[in-house]
Amino acid sequence: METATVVFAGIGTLAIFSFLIKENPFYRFFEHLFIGVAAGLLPILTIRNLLYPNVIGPLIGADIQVFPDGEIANPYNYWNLLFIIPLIFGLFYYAVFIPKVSWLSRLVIGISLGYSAGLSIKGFFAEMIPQVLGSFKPLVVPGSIGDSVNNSIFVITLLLVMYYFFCTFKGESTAHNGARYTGRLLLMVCFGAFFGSTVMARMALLVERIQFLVGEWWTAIF
Amino acid sequence: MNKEIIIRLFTFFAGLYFVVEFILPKEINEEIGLVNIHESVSYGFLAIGAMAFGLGIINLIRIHGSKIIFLQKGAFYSLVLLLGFFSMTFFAIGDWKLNMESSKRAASIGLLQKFAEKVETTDKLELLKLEMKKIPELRDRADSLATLEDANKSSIIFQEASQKVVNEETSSWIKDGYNFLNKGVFVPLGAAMFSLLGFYIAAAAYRAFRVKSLEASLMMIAAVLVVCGQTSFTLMIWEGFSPIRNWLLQVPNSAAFRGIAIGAGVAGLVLAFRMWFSIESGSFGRKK
Repeated sequence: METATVVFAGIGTLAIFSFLIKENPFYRFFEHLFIGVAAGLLPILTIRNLLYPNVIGPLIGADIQVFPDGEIANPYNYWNLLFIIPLIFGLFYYAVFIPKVSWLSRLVIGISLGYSAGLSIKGFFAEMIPQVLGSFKPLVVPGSIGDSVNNSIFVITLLLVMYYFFCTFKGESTAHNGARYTGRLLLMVCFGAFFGSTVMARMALLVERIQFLVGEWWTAIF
Repeated sequence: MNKEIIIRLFTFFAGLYFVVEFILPKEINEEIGLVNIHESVSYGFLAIGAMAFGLGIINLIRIHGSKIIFLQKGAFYSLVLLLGFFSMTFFAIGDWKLNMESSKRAASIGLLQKFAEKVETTDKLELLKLEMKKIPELRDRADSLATLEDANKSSIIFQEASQKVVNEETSSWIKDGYNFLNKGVFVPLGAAMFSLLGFYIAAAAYRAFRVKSLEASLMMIAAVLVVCGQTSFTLMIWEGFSPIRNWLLQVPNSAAFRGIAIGAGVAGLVLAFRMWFSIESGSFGRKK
């Protein structure tokens, strides 16, 4: 079975790479197979790793254990019955198929939007503010010219990039235009560096795939 | 009450919980018991979101199912997609069931360990031995517990048995099928898809990096330096590429990225408030 898995994985990899020449039936077959398999796996993983252990399991008392003498090791927590509420709200998504009560699906979408908005607000103040504060590093580090220069470049880059983003009004002043232009140049350096590291991440995956084809796959076939 | 107002109220109260939980000092959170229920409430909200998966599945089956039934263009590929979907669902559930059985066995061994540690009477000791004989990994060790003291100090026996269950390599056609679809389709094709993007990024770079302006030149120089600092061949030529790459990523790239993140964060905060107060009324179907 392991050999069949390796052989199939190699054929699939070649099929995906065949797209570089032209879109073809071989590619489309494996593309659709991949989408189908991914669509089948992800909901089950969500139920298996998130819903069942944290919601459904405690609700149905799947984690209750009884000692051989009949004593209950961890009794059922009746508050877990409240998990029925989110599950019922979750079912409202499917009201979209029943025209008379289809508005209920908007209700549950509203709840999802509300809690994601609440989490975003919390996340901004809990995570972003410390990051902003941490960004303003000391410009002079006693005994280390290198750190002082790096910190200065860091703070100046940050300020100029933020100026470029927030001060989008048209201005005649040379200082305003100059700051915006420098901010744009620094952004280009950032995008270039980011681009380079993204390319290298993709290349690492490509190298791994080629190593698989010429190593494991080739050995499995011949 | 108007349906729209009901939706807005639910949206507001769903967001209010997280804002209140964050704003209130830790001591008050503890006092009113919010700390104890926070994890469960968060899982409840996550459960609501996770239930939407079914909508995607229903739509997938409807769209591709109708293509197959009415023999529309691409019906064969839809069939392949649905076959992949149903077979993976079947094998993933089967694999989950097998794993659940072994975790249940490990949990029951753990329970017996707790019971053994607190055994006080010979009746209970006999009961323990009886239960141990029902579990294959403990069957041979049951008779080694002759006295109550043996039972109380027998945790190592149970730990070994539990470890045996956890490490057990169960082989079945369901596990084989799951491994085939996971390691033979999902993982390699996903990696191949992502690596394919490398070619397109390179093709896009060919167009974007024509040195026509100072901006384009700076972008190209930064990208080339990062690539050179990460490639073993260029590092063989000059090792200095590596510290330059690190400096570029840690200082200007990190600072500019932080600036972008702060800008996006502020925009996200504004959007979050608009969603929370249902100002984005288009989402609620109100006609403009």
